Parts: sequence; C-alpha cells; structure tokens
Amino acid sequence: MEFTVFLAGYNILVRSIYPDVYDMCRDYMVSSAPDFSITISPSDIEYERVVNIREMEVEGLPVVEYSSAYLETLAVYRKIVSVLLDKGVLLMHGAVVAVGSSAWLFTAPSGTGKTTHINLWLENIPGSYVVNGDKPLISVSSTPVVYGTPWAGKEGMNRNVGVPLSGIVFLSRGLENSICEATMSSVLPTFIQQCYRPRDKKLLEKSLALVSRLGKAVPLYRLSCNMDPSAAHVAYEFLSGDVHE
Amino acid sequence: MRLSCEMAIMDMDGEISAVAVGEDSGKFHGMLRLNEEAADIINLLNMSKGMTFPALVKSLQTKYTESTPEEIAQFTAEFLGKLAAEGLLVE
Repeated sequence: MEFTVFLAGYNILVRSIYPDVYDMCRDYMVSSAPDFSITISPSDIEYERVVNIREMEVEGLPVVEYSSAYLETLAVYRKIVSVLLDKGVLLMHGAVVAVGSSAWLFTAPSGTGKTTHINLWLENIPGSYVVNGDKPLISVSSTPVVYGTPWAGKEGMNRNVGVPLSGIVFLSRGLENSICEATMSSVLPTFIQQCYRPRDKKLLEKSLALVSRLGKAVPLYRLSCNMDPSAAHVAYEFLSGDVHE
Repeated sequence: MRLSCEMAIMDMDGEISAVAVGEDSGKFHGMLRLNEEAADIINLLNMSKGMTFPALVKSLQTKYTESTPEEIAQFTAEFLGKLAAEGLLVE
C-alpha cells in the first residue's frame, strides 16, 4: 500500500505491507507531494517483534505475540521518527492536552496516571481537548509546536492539529495536588527516559540534542496529583497563569 | 579496559550526562551525570576497543595541562572505580 500522511509539518510517503497502518492514518492523509518517503520490509516487522519480546522480558511481563500488521504500525512510526530527528522533530512519550492555542505535555513512566489526569481535564476544564494521548511529535524551535499523530496509545486519543507547546509537566502520584516549576537538572533522568531513544548512537545523540534544546525553550513543571477533579483545576490554574503571550 | 556498553554524551550548558546506547538503554537508570573530565574519560573509552590506565592518563594530560599527572591519575582512578562499581567497566 502507498499513501502520504502529513505529520509535524511534513508530507511523508509511506509504503506499507498491511492495510492496518493505512486505516490508522486516514485522518492524516494528504494528496500533496511528499517531502520524504519510508518503506517497510518484512525485516522491519521482525525487528519490532524482537524488540517487543525483549522489552516484555525486561519488564517481567508475559510476552504477547502481536500480529505482523500491528507490529508494522510500530515499524512505520519508528522509521518516520528517525527521519524527523534530522528535521528538528522529537518524539516524546506523554499525553498532550490543550486549551485554545496552548498545549501542555504531561509525561511520566507508564502506569503513573497520565491518561487519568488528562481525562480529568476533559471533564473539568471547559474547552480542553487532547492533541495526542501517548506519542506526540514536537517540532523543536524557539517556540516549539506539539502535533497530534495517529500513534496515540490504547485509547487512540488524538487530533490532527499542531499547537504551541506551553510547557512540559512531569507528573507523579500524590495524596494532595501541588504543582511547581522545575529545573532541567531535576527532571533530566525522566526527560531522557521518556524521549525517543534510538538504538543507533548517532540518532540517539540527535534525540538528546533536541531534548536539550526543548528543555531550554519551554517551561518545565512538577505536578503531584491524585484522581480528584481538583487535580485538573490546580494544574490548569497554575499553568494557564504562567503562559506568556 | 573498556566500557561494558556504548554511551552517548549529552552536554546541556555544561551539565553533562552519559546515556546508554541501544540494547543497554535501561542500564544505570538511563543516564549518568558527569563532570568534564569524566566525560572525556567516557569519550576516550568509547572510541577505543580497549585502553590501559597509563594510556588513558596520558591522553588526558594533553588536554588538562594545568593539572599534574598525579592529579589526573587520581581523578581517573576514582572515576574508573565508580564505573567498575556500576558494572560499566570490563577489564
């Protein structure tokens, strides 16, 4: 299959084997001339299978045998993201919620409660919407922009938009709700763990350089929160009051 | 001696970190904070397939000309000890 998607400001021609990735990308398809192309081979899918098994084993989880069609969706994103690193675009693990033209990325290790928290925003903050629930792309410049993509986690929450990124929030569970500004130094380990870390050294260095630039371009925050609706209010009131036009 | 895994160096306004590459990305919690001298040692070990302690100290002397060989040797030994304690050094 052959189709072109518009992601993070670039038209990307995708040559895939299975139809799943085509179906997944429908909302992002364009008929414009591509800026670059990627092609998936069976070996790319096998690579994803091996990586998936290894990661499950490392995390002590039962190994799930995913379909080749699903693994191809991962292979497509990996290839796209690797090319985009050269164009100043970084993939981060996190959930992005926006209100109007300001977006905030909430990041934390899996299982911490990112999705739970952004759902609190959707239920309690008027006008809020999810840009991407799991794997957004960020164009790193002096005014970074975060983009929705079809790769958006189990819930698939995403919107085909690009929104100025107003901050990155490092989320942790807490009994009470509190938020404060954070230094890059204090959040660096989590920042690095939650960004795309290619297995190739040169690509990894590009990814780390973008992390460094991003950390200087947007404010960083630490949010400790529970599952009460007030968590969304505490976060939104602090973050929206800190947005500089 | 050599590193047990390949590392990439990240320098953000003088705050330097080493990040494990590829298969080893989960090691030492993903990153190790370094000073400039430690980063140079990591870079030298990264570039070679094996390096002796004297060769390492000699290489560092070409950059840290204001330090005595004894000071460089002491720092190098201390940092290599930390790497060994983390299981990041192979003799």
